[in-house]
Formats: sequence, structure tokens, C-alpha cells
Amino acid sequence: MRRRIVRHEAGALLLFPLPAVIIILVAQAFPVFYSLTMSFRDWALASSLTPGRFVGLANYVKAFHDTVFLHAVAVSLQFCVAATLVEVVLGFILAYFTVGESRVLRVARTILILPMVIAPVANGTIWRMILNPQYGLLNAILSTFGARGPDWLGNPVLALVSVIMIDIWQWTPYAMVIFCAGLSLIPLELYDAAQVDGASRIRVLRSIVIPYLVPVIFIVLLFRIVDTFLVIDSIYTTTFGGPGFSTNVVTLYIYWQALRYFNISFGSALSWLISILTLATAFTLMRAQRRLQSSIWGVTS
Amino acid sequence: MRKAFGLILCLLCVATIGSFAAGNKEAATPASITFSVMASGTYDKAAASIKDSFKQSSGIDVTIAAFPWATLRQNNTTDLLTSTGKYDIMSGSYYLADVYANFISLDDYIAKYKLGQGLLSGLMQKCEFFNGHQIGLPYGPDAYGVLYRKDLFDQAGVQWPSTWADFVALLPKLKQIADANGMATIAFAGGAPEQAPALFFDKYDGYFITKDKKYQLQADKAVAALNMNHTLLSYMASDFMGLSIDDANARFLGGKALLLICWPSFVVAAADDPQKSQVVGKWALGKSVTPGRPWLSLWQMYISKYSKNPEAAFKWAAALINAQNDKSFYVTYGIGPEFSATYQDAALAQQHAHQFAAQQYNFSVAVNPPLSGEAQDFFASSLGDFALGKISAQQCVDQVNQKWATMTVPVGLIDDAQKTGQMQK
Repeated sequence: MRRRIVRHEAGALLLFPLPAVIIILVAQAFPVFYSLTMSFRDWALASSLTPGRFVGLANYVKAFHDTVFLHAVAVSLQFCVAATLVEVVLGFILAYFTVGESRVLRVARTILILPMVIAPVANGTIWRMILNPQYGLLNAILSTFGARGPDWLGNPVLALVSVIMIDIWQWTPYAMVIFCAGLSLIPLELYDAAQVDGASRIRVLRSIVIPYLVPVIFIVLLFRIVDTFLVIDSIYTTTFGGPGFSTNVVTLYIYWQALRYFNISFGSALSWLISILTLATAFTLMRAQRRLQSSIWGVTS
Repeated sequence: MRKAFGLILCLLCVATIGSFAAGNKEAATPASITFSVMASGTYDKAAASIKDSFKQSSGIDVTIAAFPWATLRQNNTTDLLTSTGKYDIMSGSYYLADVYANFISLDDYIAKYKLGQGLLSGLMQKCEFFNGHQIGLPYGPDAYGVLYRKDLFDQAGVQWPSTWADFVALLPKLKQIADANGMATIAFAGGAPEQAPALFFDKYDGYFITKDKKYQLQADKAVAALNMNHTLLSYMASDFMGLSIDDANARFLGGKALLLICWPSFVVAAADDPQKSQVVGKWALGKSVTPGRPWLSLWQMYISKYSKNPEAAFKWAAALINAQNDKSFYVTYGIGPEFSATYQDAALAQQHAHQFAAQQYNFSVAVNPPLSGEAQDFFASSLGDFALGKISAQQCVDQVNQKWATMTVPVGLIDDAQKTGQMQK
């Protein structure tokens, strides 16, 4: 029987989440709101300890005329698209072949997950050594096959490919783990029914596995898009945005502006632009997911 | 009521005893300061080597906080702008111009401790000043330069050039020598993005700041310097854009490069050490060629205005900068000497004849570019794009001037630029 909550009890119950709400407001909502207000002012911390005058949208206009920022957005998009696609596809393949409860599969999954538990800064440092053209492991391996390894981090195209590769190496396991969880939730009866009907593995994959995994695929896509668009640690430790501006991603540029040169207002404006872009991508993905699910199952959730 | 009174009394007792204990502790604790320094394996080690003897003589405990260059700059700046006061005395140079207002004037201390006597002529004037007051104390000067294989130059009858035009004209011949010996013509740390401006500064003698106090490169001279670099880059080791400072140095030390464009202080001690070098007795430091101003790395110690113990911080600076340490730091770590006495030491001069004269000359002509951290970072990345062939010399200059036009020149650097002839007349 459902107990009726009397008014004074309701008041007391509301007090329980209050500390958490206060912490969230102070630690998250306030900085977000404050950075929004700062983006409309003129404030470089190196010149003044207090925020300067109100400048309206000047910082946003400046951002759209800043060629380095626009280039950084383009580099981030390239990074994001390439890394996410490979991570999702590879993560799915690895999950599909390692899902199950046998000891071998469990050990395989554990080994595959290892890159994900390395701190990104340590990961970047390790890869910088691996990719060293002179003493690096990768070129040493290539040389055993008689091939002369390229200058991975010194060539602008290869440098971008290298940092994408590092991200793929570290975060494909994340996609794999989520896909494994999704795959294990598919009812076994469906596989049995497909087997009875004589469906091939490809047909099972196309007609059962993928449609069932649509929400999972979108969750992985969403997390990886946001994460790859906001990557900084591995790039900071491997290329520092170079050579030239080749791997200068948008987060690194914002970090430089806000926390290296202390252009607080401009950095805030850039952060808001990127937040809006990321949120718009997230909403688009969520809408696409609803539409796709509706077309597959004829339902909206 | 009695219970509450008793509780308050107890609390007061505890607070009183606590404050006495804290007071006594403060009186008994020796002064301690933190010194931020670059983790170069030279400056940090030199500082660590005198830490214990300094504590014994002064009672001041020094914590040495060593960071890579980029992190050091970031940590220093953050510490000042957040008024944290974690680092009492900081290592840095002109690129800290944005935060000069956060350092104390050292004029009184310099006079009180008579610091600066015996230093190379003009060195104190090359330090940083703010509002007419000296804020930086020099230690470890270094001028970007070229180490070359003197034995192979002598064998081929090649003289060290005196102008960049002569240098460029000599490059085909140098390549022949390098090829004949199975080595690269030039090694340079192209993989360290912040090093790129070195190749420009030493070939550019134009201005960086206009009459109306805006950042700008003198287009004709800048394009000429970059075009000269274009030729130079074509003679670099094929993988130079992937070489770190250590990689490039190792290549020269291993006898795999004819020339090394570098910070000499990072490599000269190793180059003379048979355990670390295959070129002992075979190399020399080239005298700086014209036009241009070699990049000066004049490490300075600045005392934070948030330091709780500026006197102790200055004592540490005074302990680090003296003629005795100057010589031993040079011999042990290769740190550029800054006392005349070191250069006048006959035995040392003979032992280091392959670099002493050039080193002293290079210091005298080298200057700090009057660039803020932001201006220099953007410039370095643009030069990286130029080195990769993504943009032409003219495009590089245009790109830099366009971006620099949006930046403010820190006041302290305008004085520097005027003093060193780097401002438009």
C-alpha cells in the first residue's frame, strides 16, 4: 500500500538533496553563468584583476574573424569525425567477437580494455616515445621489415593521423565495453528463432543485432563525438598543437587563450561557441536516433 | 548555563594553547622559500647542487620546483595572477612581460648586497626592468648559436663565414663534406615548436614594434630573413621537424651532423665529455654571423610580490650568482658564464678555446626579442607552417602582422625594444 507523504515529511525529504543541489549550483552552474557574463566583457587577467567594461558581442565577432580559431575548429572536426568513426566501427567489431562468458573471452576483453585505464597524459607521453622518428618503437618495428619509418610527429598530415591513432588506441575499448553490454542484452530467443529460420550470420547482424543496438550506437556516438571534439591531453603531450598549426585543436586554442595568455573574456566566448556547437550536435544526434528507431520499430523510444 | 560556560572556557583554553604552539612553531621554523626553475638537467641541477650548503650557511631551506619550459612559464604566470605566492623566486625572461607588475623591484637589494660586481659588462642592463626598476637578476645566459665540426671544416679548408649570405653560399660545399662523412648537414630541433623563431631572429635586424607601439615585422627584412631560412631548411636533416632538442643534440654528439643549431649551454658540457660524445676535440662554436641578432636566453630570477620572505629569496639569488659558482656551473653543467673572472681564467680559456671567444662575442650581440608570450607563440607556430612549406615567406609575414595587430605590447617590452634597437625609428 502506498504511504501518503504528509506535508511536513515532504519538506524534510526535500532537504536531503539540498546539499548536493547547492554544490552543483556553486561548482557548476555559477561558473557556467559567470563565464557567459564574462564573454560579454573585456577582461585580460594579466592587465587587470577585475573584469573590464561591457563589450557586447565583440568577443564573439572577434572569434569569427580569428583565422587560428577557425582553423582549430576545422582540425577538431577532422579529428572528431575520423576518430569517432573508427572507434565506433572497431569497437563494435571487437565487442561482437569478444562478447560471451568463456574464460578466454573474458581475458581478451580485459586485455583490450587496458588502454582505456591509462591516464591520457601518460598515454600521450608513451606514444610520443613510440613515434619518435629516431628511437621510437614503431619505426624500429618498421625497419625490421626493411621499411624506413616516417617522421610521425614532424609531418603535418602524419602528425594529425598520429594523434587520431592515439585516440583510437585509447578509446576504442570504451566503445567496445558499451557494445558488449548492449549485445548481452539482446534476447537469446531471437538468435534461436533466426537459427530456426535459417538466417545467415550477416542476416542476423543486419536484422537483429544492429536494430537492437541502435540506442547503444547513438550513445557511443554521442559520447565519442563530444570527447573527441574536446580532446586536449594527448595533443598537449605529443605535438603541442604543432608542427605549425597542424594539430592545433580548438580546446588547445581555448586553453591557450584563457589559461596561458589569461584572455579570460575571449576564452569564455570561444568556450561558449564550442559548447553551443557541441550541444547542437548532441540534439541532432538524439533527434536522429528517435527518427531511426521510429522507422525501425515504429515507436519513438 | 554552567554547562555552556564550561564548554566555552574549554574552547578558549584549547584555542590559547593552540595559538601559543603555532607561535612557537613559527619562531622555531627556519625560513623556507620555493624556487621555480627549468627542468633542463643543467639549471635545476646547478641550483640543487648548492641547496644544502646554502641551508647550512643561511638557515634558509630552498625547495627547487623544476618544470619543462612551457610548464614553468605557465606555472609562474598562474601563481602570480592568482596571487597564490607558491613560488617565492621564479625563473623566467622577457616572455613574462605580461606579469611584470607582479614582481618586486630589486634595486634596494642589489645595492644592499652589492650584487652585479664582476658580471660581464652590460649584462645587468640586459635584465628586465619595470617602471625604471630592475626586477630580474641574471643567471645562465645563453645565445642561440651554431656548433660545427671544426675538424672537417679544417680538412676541407673551409673558414667559418661572417655573413648569412656567405653561409648560404657555403651550404653546397658543406653538404658535400657532410655526405662524404655520412652525416646530415644541419641538425636542428624542429620538433620543438617554440624553437622555430631562433632561425629567424639571427637573420633579422628589423623592428618588432612600430612607432605607435604596435607589434609588427618590418616586411622587407622579415621576408628576406625567411627566404634565407628557406634555403637553410633545405639542407636540414630530412627528419628535422620531428627532432626534439635532445634528439638534435644527440645527433651532433653522435657524429651524425656537421652543424648543430642550438642553445649551446644544453650541449657543450656533454660535447666535451668522452662518455657522452664522439666529437670531443673536433667541434667549435661559431661566431654569430650578420645580419640579425641571435636569440638571447637570459634566465633571470624574479621575486614574486606575493612572497612571504623576499629577503630570503634575494639571499638565495645572491648565493646562486657569484664568481665561484659561475666557473663551477660552467665546467660541470655547461651553463654560460656571466662573470668576467671566468673568461679571464687562463687555464679555462685554453681548455675551452674552441668556444670561449665565440661565446663571449655571441652574448654581447644577442638580445631578447620584445615579444609577449602570446605574440611569440603565434609567431613560432606561423614559422612552423613556413618551415613545412604550407605558406610562403610573404604569407607568413602577413599572417603574423595581421594577428599581432590585435595584440597589446606589454609596457615593459617597449623600453626593452627601444634600448636594443628593435623599435621602429
